[in-house]
Amino acid sequence: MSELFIQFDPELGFWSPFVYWFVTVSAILCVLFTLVVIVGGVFDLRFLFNALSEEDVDETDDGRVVAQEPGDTGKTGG
Amino acid sequence: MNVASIDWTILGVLFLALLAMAVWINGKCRSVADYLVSGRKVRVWLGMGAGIAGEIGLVTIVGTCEQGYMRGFGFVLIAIMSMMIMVPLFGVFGFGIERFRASKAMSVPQYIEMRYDKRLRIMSGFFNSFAGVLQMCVFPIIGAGFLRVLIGAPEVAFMLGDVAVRSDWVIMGILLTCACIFTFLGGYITLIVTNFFQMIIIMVSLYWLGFELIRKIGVQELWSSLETNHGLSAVYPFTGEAGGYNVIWFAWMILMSILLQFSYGPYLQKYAAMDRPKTVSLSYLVGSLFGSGRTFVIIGFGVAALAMMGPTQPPGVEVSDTVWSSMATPYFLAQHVGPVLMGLLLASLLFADISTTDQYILSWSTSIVNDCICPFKKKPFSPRAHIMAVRLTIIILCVLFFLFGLIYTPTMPIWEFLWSCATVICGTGIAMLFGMYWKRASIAGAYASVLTCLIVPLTDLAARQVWQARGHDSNEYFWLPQTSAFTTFITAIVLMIVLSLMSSKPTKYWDLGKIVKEMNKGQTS
Repeated sequence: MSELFIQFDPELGFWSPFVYWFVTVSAILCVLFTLVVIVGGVFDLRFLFNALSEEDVDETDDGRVVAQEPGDTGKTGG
Repeated sequence: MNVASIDWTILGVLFLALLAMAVWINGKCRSVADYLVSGRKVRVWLGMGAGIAGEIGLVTIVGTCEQGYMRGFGFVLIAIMSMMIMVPLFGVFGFGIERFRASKAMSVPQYIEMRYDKRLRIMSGFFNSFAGVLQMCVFPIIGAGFLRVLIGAPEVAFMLGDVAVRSDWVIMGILLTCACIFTFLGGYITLIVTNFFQMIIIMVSLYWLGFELIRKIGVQELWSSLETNHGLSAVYPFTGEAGGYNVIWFAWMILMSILLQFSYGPYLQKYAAMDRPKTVSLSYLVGSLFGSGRTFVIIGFGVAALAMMGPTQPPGVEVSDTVWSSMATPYFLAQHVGPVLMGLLLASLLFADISTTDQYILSWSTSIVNDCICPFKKKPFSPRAHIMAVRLTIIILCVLFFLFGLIYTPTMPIWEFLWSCATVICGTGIAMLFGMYWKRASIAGAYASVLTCLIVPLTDLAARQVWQARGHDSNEYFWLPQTSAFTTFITAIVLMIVLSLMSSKPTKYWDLGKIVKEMNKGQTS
């Protein structure tokens, strides 16, 4: 951990330490975030598979736009 | 080659496990909506996890490592400034992207038909697909080049009669075949699930590699060599150096990024797959806030290559000078990554390519079938025929990419080429944006915005080619590419507004804001 505290070139002023610490903290936060995503994603996978097996299939929901009634500004098939 | 038997074993086992998963998931696909947008049942964490894999493409890694080698962390400040605009706009307010999900459209052109007219749907579908496919043509060959240098494969794999078969072509064929297999099986459901697991492997590999490089080189050495080699431009992007960033570049990039959120097929298909509008904005918010860290880690690989090899090509390296900056990092990694980690790294790079290629190729294939073929059919496809049409299109595109890769020779930096294609697509984004929020946005205005973003960039590109063909230096052309693109966007927006105000015809506007609220409360689905 002490390795993270380094020396910077004084000619580069504020930007060098700012960017260094921003990058370091972002990288660490990304690790933690990835762990959260993995755990949450596993639960969402269960939901996905359950939902797919329970849903009613709508064969008209395939990307086409169905004929419109007056005042009806557009519907998909689904 | 730099790859040990254990590395090939790791790669093989992981690939087969993922393939087995894809075959099993294939059975879950029961409808066109399942195949194209996972039945709209993707929740926030799964969407984010799959999205991460989709964003980390092999070409992205190549380009990002190149940035790290050439410019260090100069991009960080731009990323921060960009986040300050994009995160509130899309992550908090869900600007446009929540409304798109509320429309229940599966694609941009489908919404265009709902809001404007069918002919514009066909036109925008055609141009967007064309630009998107053109963009994708370079992905496989660039990724294959990176992998060839990484594994230390020779330039020529074998001779076929008098023809020297390049290793790049063999690797490219493998990458495309893999992407084809995963999109073929189960469509977007397979993509979401396999991308999620690929994400885990990619992130573990990237971070393990990062730790290894830091352990070998040391943080102080890494940072000091960056400061020495690039000076202030390593950490501050607006130094005014030739070829560097500036305000116009930033303005153009931000405007393009905003418009692509409403027009880039792969993004919109991802949003269409989510269970409700709030999931879309939430996944954008969290993904943006925490996603920059992984980009910085990848930049760090380029910085590590710079620290160990210096800014110029070492003697005895068999890579041409023009592509050295993009090959420096794989060359460096090939020398310093040991067994087991190399196997995991190879698997992660393969999966990075598969996860992005399959997402994009499914998106563009969907657009070609739904927006360029289906509107001409008198009788709609049956669900089985519809899925088969998309699969056939996937195969045709993969063959096209392979053939393109055989003849491709880079004449401009990768990012310039990709951004030129993106400019064409942004015209549809303007039509989308105004369509969702402005009752008076008219068909004439929408046509004008789409055509402006097609004609102006192509004319500009042709003019630059003529300029260079006449012996002039491309750097002396009277305006920069980003100025041309930024002017194109402003012109298209002005034309949309003016032509819409001049039109008195009623429009097909409906209040998506109200539907967003209802869907987020669970009152409708």
